[in-house]
Amino acid sequence: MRTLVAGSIAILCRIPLGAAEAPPPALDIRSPVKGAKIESGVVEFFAQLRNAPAEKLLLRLAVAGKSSAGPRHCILVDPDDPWTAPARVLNVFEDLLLLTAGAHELAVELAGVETGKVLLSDKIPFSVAGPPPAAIDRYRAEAALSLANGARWLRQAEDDYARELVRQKADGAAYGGDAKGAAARYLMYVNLDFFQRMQGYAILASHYDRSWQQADALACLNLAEEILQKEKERTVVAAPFGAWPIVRSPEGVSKAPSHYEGYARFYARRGDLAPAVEWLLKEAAWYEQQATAAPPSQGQTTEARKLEAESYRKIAHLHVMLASDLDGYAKHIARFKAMLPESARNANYSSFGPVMRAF
Amino acid sequence: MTAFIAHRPRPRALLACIAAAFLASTAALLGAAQRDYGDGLIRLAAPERFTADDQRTLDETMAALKDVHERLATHALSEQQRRVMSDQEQRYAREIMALRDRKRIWNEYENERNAASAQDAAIGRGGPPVRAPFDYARFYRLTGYFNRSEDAFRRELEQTPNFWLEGAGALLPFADMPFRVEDDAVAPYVLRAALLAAKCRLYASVVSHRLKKPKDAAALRAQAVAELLRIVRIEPGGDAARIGFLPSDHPDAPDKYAAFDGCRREEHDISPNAGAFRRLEDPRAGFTQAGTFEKARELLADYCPWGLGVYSFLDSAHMAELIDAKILRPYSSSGGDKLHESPLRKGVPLNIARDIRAIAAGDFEYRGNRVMVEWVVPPKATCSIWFISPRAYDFTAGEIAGLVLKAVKALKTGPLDLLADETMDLLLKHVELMLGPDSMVYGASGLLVTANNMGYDSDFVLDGKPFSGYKLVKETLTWAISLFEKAEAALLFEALDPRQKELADFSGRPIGYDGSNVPPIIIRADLLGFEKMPDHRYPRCWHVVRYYQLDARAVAGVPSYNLREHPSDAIPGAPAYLAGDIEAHERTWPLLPITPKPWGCRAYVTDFSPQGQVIAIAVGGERLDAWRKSLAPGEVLAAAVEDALGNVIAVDEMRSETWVLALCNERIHVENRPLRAVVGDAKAIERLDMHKRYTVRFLAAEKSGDTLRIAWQQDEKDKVVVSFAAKQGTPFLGRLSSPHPGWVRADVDLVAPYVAREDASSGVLLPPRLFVDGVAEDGQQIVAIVPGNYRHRFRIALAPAEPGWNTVIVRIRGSVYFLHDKPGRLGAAAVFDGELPLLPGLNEVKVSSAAAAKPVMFAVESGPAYAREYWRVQKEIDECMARVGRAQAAGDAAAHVQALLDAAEVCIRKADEMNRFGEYIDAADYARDALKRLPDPDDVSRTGGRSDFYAEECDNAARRAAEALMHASFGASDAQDLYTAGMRFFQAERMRIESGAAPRPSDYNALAEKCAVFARRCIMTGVEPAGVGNVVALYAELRRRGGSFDAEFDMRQFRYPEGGGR
Repeated sequence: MRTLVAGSIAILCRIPLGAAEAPPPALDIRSPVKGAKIESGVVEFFAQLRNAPAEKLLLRLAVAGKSSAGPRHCILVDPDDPWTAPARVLNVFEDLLLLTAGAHELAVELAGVETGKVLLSDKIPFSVAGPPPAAIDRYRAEAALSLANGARWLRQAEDDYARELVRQKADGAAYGGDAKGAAARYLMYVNLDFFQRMQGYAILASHYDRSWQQADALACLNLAEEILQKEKERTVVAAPFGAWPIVRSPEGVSKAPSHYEGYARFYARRGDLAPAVEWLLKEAAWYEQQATAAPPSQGQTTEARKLEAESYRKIAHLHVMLASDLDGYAKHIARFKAMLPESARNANYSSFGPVMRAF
Repeated sequence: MTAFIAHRPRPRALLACIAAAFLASTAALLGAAQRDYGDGLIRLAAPERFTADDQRTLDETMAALKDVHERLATHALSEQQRRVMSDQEQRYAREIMALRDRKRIWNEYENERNAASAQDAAIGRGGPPVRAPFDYARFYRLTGYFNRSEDAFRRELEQTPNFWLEGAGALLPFADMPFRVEDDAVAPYVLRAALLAAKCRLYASVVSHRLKKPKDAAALRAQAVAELLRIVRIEPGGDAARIGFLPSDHPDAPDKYAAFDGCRREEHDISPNAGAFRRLEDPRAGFTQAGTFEKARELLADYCPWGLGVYSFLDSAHMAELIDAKILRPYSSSGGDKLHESPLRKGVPLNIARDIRAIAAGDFEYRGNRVMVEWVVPPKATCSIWFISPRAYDFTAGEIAGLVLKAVKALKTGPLDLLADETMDLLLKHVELMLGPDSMVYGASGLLVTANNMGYDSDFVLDGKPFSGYKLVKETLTWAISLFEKAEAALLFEALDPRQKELADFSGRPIGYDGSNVPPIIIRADLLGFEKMPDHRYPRCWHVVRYYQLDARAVAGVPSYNLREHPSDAIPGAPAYLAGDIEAHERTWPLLPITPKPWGCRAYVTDFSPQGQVIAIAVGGERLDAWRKSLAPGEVLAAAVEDALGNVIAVDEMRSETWVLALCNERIHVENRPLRAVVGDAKAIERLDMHKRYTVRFLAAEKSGDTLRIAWQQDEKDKVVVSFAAKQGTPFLGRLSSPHPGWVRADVDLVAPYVAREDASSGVLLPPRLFVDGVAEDGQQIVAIVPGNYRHRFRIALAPAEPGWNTVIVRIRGSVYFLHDKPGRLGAAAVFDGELPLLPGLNEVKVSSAAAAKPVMFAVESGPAYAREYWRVQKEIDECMARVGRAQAAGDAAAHVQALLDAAEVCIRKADEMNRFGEYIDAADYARDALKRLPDPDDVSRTGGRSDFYAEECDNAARRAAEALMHASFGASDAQDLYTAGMRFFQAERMRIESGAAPRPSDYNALAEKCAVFARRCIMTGVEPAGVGNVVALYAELRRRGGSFDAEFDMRQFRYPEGGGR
C-alpha cells in the first residue's frame, strides 16, 4: 500500500492525433509504480483513465515473471454502464493479481473491443517481496478489533436495553424513557456483532492471502461460513419486536456476510471463475431476502435492491476479468441494470471495482 | 481466614484470651507446676488450680461453640467459610474438653483434701497434713523389680504398656508423698520414685509405639515429660542438689555396688547389639549412680527435645500429631530415622499462606527482587513439615550423605508425590497442548539466579531424553522435576544441618534440657507451575521452594531459648499465634536466611527446550538444477533462516542436495555439544531461545570471499516452514528424529510438489488478544482521572474468546480483581466491564487473561495522596476511652455506653474519610476498630430507661461501620471481609426498613440498587460463587419486595461462572 502513496510515477500514454475535436485518452497508472518493491503477494492495480472514447474498451493486464507467465486479466470499460458513463475520468482498480515472490513485469494495453485497435500500451517492472513477518500481528490485531468492536457495541446496547426495561418496571406509569428505541438499537447491534464477526475473519483471510498463506486464508473463510451456518436461524427476543432473526436489522438493510465476497476474491485470484460467481450469487440472494422479508420499509427495499444489483455487476465484470467472456458480461450486466432502482443509478459505489466514476 | 474470624462478634483479643487459657489448661493437664502442700512441703502430683477466671473462659467458650453451631446450622455459607468455621468448632470443642478435665481433676483433688482434713478434724488432729512414714524396704523392692524389668525392656522382650503403667501406679504413692527440699531425708527417695514412675510411662509409650499405637505413645510421652519437668523445676542449687542422689549406705539398700535405682550411667544406644548394653549385663561392672535431676534432663532431651512448651504449641497448631516418634532416639532400636517429613494439610501458618498466594498470583519477591510471571494456571502449593532427629548432631561426615539421600528420598516420595498427584494431570495436558502428541521434550533446568526469569544458571543441565507418546510424557516430566532436586539436595542439607553457623545464629542456638542442641523443625512450601509462553516457544516450568524454620524464641517469648537454664513451659507467644495474628506467625515461622546462601527460597526454571535442533532440507535434483540455472553470474544458492519472530538468524550457502543447519542451545555448556556426532561439518549457530518453528527461504546470493550478500528483491526459489512441534490434529511437515539425547532433527523433503505444503494451515488463525478502552496497543497510555475520584471504569475486550466463561484478571498495585463474561457465540469477543477502586497517585495496572498471550499494562493516575492526621483521631479516641474509664469508675452505665459509642463514631468517620481518599487498608482498620469498640449488649441493658435508645444507636453504628468496611475491603480486594461486612450491612438495612411502620416498594428498590453494586463487587473481588449466589438471591428478593423483579433482565447484570469457572 505504501507504494501507492509514495511518489507514484505517472505514465501518460498519448495516442496519435486522429480526431481533432476529441482530446486523446490518457492512462495514469498509479500502482504498481515502476521499480517498486511490493510487500504483498497480491498486487493492486490502480489507474485513472481520462478522455475515454464512447466505445467499449478493454484494458488488458498481463504479468510475467523472469521465467514464467503470470495471470492475465481484462477490464471492460463500458459506456453503457450507468455507474461509469458519462464520465471524463474513470478510476480503474483491481486487487486480484496473486503473484509469487520475485521480479515481475506488468504489461498494460488499452484497446477498442469492436475495432481491436490498440490505443495505448506500457510495461511496468516491479518486484514482489511479500509482507514482512511482523505484519501478520498487525493484521491479526485489525481482525480481532473487528470482533471486539462488535461485542462492545452489543454489550452497551444490551445494557441500555436491560436498564430501560428495569426502569420501566420500577417506575411504572411514571416511566418516560424509550424502551422501544433501546430494543431496536439492541437488535441492530445483535445483527452488527454477527456481521462484525464474519467480517473479522474475512479481513484476516484477505491478509493471509496476501502473505501466501492459502490454507490459513481458506480456514478463516470457512470459520466465517461456520458462524453463519450455526447462527443464521437464531432469533433474539426483545419486546416489542418479538423473536427477531439476527440476520436482519430493524434499522436498515443487513449487509451480506463479508466472507461471500472474500470467497469470490480468493477463487478469482486463482483464476477460478465458477466458485467465485457462485459465492457472489449467494450475496445477491442474501439481498434478495433482505428486500422481500417482511416488513421492510420502502427505503430498505431500495437499498437492498441496489446492493443485489451490485452483486450482479461484480459477476458481470468477473466474467471479463478472468475469462474475457463478453456474453457472460452482457447477461449479468443486463440483470444489474434491470434490478438497479432509479434512485441508485448515480450511486457509483463498488468495493469490488473494477471501473468507477472518479470525482 | 483471619479476616473471616475477625468479623465474628467476638473480637480477636477475646480469641487470644481463650487461646491463652486453653494453652495454660493444656499445660496444666500435662502437669506443669508443683504446689506448696502445707508448710513448705512439695507435692509433685498436685494438679493446677481451677480458678474463677478459668470458669469464665469455660463459659465463654461454650457460648462461642453454641454460636458457631447456630451459624453452621442456619446460615448459607460458602465452602471456605464452612471450613473455617468447622475448624473453629473443633478448636472450641477441644478447649472445652481440656478445661472440663482440668476442672474435674482439681475438684477431685480438692474433695480428697477436704475429706482428709475433715477426717483429721474428726479424730482431733487438725493443723497441717502429716505425711505417712516412707516404706524404704518396699521402695527398694520396687526399684529392684524395675531394674529387672528395664533389662527385659532393653532386650525388647515382649511387654505390654499396661505392665509399665502398673509399675508407675505402684510407684505413685512414693512419688506423691509431700517433702521438703531442705533437711528432709525422704526427699531423694520421693524424687527418685517420681523419676522412675515417669520412666515407667515412657517405657509404656515406647512399647505402645512398638505395638503400632502412635496416639497412645504420644499421650503417654506427653504425660511422662510433664512429670519429668516437675522434677527438673525443683532442682535446688549447691549441696541441696545432693537430694538427687540416693544414699548408698541405707540399711534397706539391697546392694551397695549394684545400685539398682534406675539411674545407671549408660550410653544412649539401647540396641541389644551395642557394646554399651553388653557391659550392662555385668552387675559388678562398676556402675556409678547418675543424679535424679541429671537423669530427668537426659530423658527430657531424649523424649521431648523441643521442650514441653513448644510441644504444647505444636499440639495446638495441629502439628504435633505429624511427628513420627521414630526420629526420637528411644523409639528406634536400629539407628532410627534421621528425618521425618509429613504433608501439612491444615494449619499452614498465615505468613506462609500469604507468600504462597503472592507466588500463585505471579507477583512475588525473590531474593530481594520482584518477580512477575504469567502462569498458565496459578500454581497450587503443597506444604510439608520436616522434623529433624536429634541424631543430626551425632552425625559423622559419612552419615551426612545418608541424610541428604534421605532428604532426596523424602522429596521424591513426599512433596513430589503430592505435586504429581495434584498438578501432574494439568501439566501433562499443557505439555501436550504446547507440543503436540508426537513431539520430543527435553529439559534444561537450573537455579534462578536473578529476578529476570531469562537469567537462570545453566551450569546444571538435564541429560535430555526424547520421548513420544503420552505415557512417556509423565515419566519424563517426573524425571525432570526430580532431577533438579539433586541440586536442591546440596543446599537442602545445609538448611537441615543444625551445625551450620549462619543457620545456628539465625535460630538463636536453642539449648535443650540437658544442654544439647534443639533440633530444627522446618516447613517447606512447594509450588510448581507453567509459565505462559508465546506460542512459538517451548514450555517453561517453575518450581519454587521456600523453607521456614520454627523459632522457639517467638513461642516461648524469650530472647534466648535455653531449657537447661530456664526449664519453663510458658509459651506467651502462642495465644496471638492461635488467634490468627499474622505477625505472630511471621515471628514463629520466619523464612530461612537467603544469604550467604539461598537456604530460604529457591526457584528452579526448567525450560523444556531441546539442547539443540537440526534442520535438514533435501531438495530434489531436478528442482535444484532449475534453481541453479536461474542464477546470474557470481550468484550462489543460499538458505536464509528466520526464527518465529521473523528475525534472520542464519544465512548459509546451499552446496548439495541436502542442506543442514544445527542450532545449539546457548544455555548448554560448550563441552556438552556433540556437534560433530550430530551434524558433522554442517554450519552451527547458537540460540539463547529455541523456537518451535523456523522459516527457511532459498534465495540467490552474491558471494565474495566467505561473505554471502542476499538481495531480498531477487526471485525467491522456495520457502519452507520447519516445525519442531506440531499442533494437535496437524501432521508435521517432514520427519522428526533424535540423533543424540537432547537433540531433535527435522527432515523436510522438497522433492514433493510445492503445493503440498500450502495445504497445511498454521493452526493459529487468530490468537486471542486483549483490548482495553483508552489504552493504546503499546500500553503506554496514562489515563488521567479527575482528582478526588478514586475509581475508574475499566472496559476490556478479549477477542476472540471461547463461547463459555472467560475471565480477565485486573491487578491494580497490590489488589487483584476478576471480571467474567460468557459470549455464548462462536468466534465472538468477550467484553468485561467493571468500576474498580484506585489508590492515590499513579496506579500501575496489569490486565491479563489465561487465553491471551500478552497482558496489557498501563497506568492510571488518580487523585493525590491524603494528608494523614492520625494523631488527631487517636487523640479523640483516647479522650473517649478516658471517659469510658471515668464512667466505669463512677458506675455510670449510660455515660460508659455513650463514650464507647462516641469512640466508635470517631472510627467510623475516619474510615469513611479514608475510603473517600482511597486509603482502603487504613479505612478497613478503622472500620474494624469501630466494630470492636461498640458496647456489649449487657452494658446497654444496664442503662435502664435509655437502653432502647442506646440499642438503636449501637445498631446504627454497627451498620455504618459494616458499610465502611464493605467499601474498604473492596478497595483492598479482600473478598472475605467484603462479603461478610456487606451481608451484615444489607441484613441490617433490610431490618431497618422492615422495622418501620410500612415498608415502601421504593425503599426496597433503592436498597436493591445498592445490593446490585455489592454483588458486582463481590464477583470482581473473587468471592466464592456460592457467596455471590447468596448476594444475588438477596438482590432478587429485594426487587421482588419492591414489586419490580424481572428474572431475565435483572439477572443480566451479574456475570460470573456460577459453577466456579475460574
